[in-house]
Amino acid sequence: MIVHEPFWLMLIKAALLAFVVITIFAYVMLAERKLLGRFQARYGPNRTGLMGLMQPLADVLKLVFKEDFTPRGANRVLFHIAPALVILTAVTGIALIPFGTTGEILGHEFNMYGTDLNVSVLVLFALAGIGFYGLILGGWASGNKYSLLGAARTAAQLVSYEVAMGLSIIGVVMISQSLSLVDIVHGQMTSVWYILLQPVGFLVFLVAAVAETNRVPFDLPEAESELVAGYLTEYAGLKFAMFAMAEYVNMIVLSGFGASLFLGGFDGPWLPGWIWLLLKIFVFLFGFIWLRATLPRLRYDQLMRFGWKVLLPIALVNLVVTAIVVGVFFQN
Amino acid sequence: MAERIAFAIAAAGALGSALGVITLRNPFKAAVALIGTLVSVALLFLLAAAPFVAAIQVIVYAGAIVVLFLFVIAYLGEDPPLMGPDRTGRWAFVPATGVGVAAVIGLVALLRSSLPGMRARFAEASDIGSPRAIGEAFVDRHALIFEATSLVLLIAALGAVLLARRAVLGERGR
Repeated sequence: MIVHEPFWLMLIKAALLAFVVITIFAYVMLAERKLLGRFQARYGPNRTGLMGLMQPLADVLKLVFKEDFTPRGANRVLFHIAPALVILTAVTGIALIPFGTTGEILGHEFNMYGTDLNVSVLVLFALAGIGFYGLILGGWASGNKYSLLGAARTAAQLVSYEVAMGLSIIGVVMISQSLSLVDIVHGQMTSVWYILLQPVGFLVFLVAAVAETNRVPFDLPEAESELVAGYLTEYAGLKFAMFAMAEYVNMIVLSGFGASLFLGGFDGPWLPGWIWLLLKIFVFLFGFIWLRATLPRLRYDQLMRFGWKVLLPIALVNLVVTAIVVGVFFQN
Repeated sequence: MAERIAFAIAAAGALGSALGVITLRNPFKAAVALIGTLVSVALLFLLAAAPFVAAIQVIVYAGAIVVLFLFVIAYLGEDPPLMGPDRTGRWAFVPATGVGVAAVIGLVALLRSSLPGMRARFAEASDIGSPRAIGEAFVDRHALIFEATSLVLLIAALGAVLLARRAVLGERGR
């Protein structure tokens, strides 16, 4: 099943994946602005190019020409490293999402994913864990009290919801008996999509995914009505763009992750696998945007209480029930 | 060859950032250096063909524990740590020389030893770092020790909750 690839092919694939995810990011952002417009009974951006399709390019051009500003009192090194760290870990995640089994180009067979590890699921968590530091370091290094508060909130929120997300995924891992995303998708192709076996786990995963990406209603780290913009306050120009980009790339990667774990990944009839995966990713992304247009922001104590006293117990009970069922009825 | 280069980078990263942890004056920067150490050690685990251990090292230590360190340090603020005046004065070179001599002796002893890998080639290690191997070790071979450890951790967590509860109640009483 797994094809051995020459080194140059891996390099091309890596560049292609990065290019694809960055292009998707640009148009997810545009889709969000247009959809939010519709949700609020207005048009959204439609002036730049045909139907506003050139808007992402215009946004980038504008941000490039902004002043690259470092506030007095900031820790220069960490202030510059933070956005790079965030974007690096976000884009790396896409390498682990399987888009299909194998393909062929110019007579060379290749795997339709960046890489398949026997601990892919854990590596995605590890990448997210390092990515958090970008937000925390950025907030601290800005030398601004609002930034610091945003960073502290980020730390508390992400650590709390990462636990619930980890527990929600272990159910799938127990059923599929593997930590490799490719194996998990293949397991669903031979049985059923795991959303049918793990509906509770899926719901916990969805809530935790929204919290992990700092999206409404869990956007406490950058709550503009109380913290200016949290850890983002002192960032401008391209560094600001890198944080925004990382947020959207994280959304895309988490959507691909959720689709592979619960919705069969690239599994689907008639169409090629990668189209199915992209469709599923867009369903997730639409959900993210819909939530943003619908819900107000939680209060901080509500966020913490919900995470520890509601979400975590549900995830734990789901885990224990799954373990018993798998252990009793499906001993291979 | 590529493995040796990766090992050199990871080992240098681990040593360099560990040096940062103990020499940086600012506790926040020291904690950031600690992240570097933990990630470098995770790379070393990866080179030792233990991907599961490497991932867990990053998730648990770098992803959760150091986040809490930074959280506490950031809230305590920028004030310099409580340190008395430097009373070693002109005798400061004595401990420094001592550490240097000890390091040289240790290095010589290590190079003259016959530990595996120093003289002879490494023996091929069996599978110890894959998810399956670790699962078997935990719930098959060492189940009792594993459960005992989890009990100890549970007691520690309960103790922390009780201590915090006493402090919170005391504050409310005032």
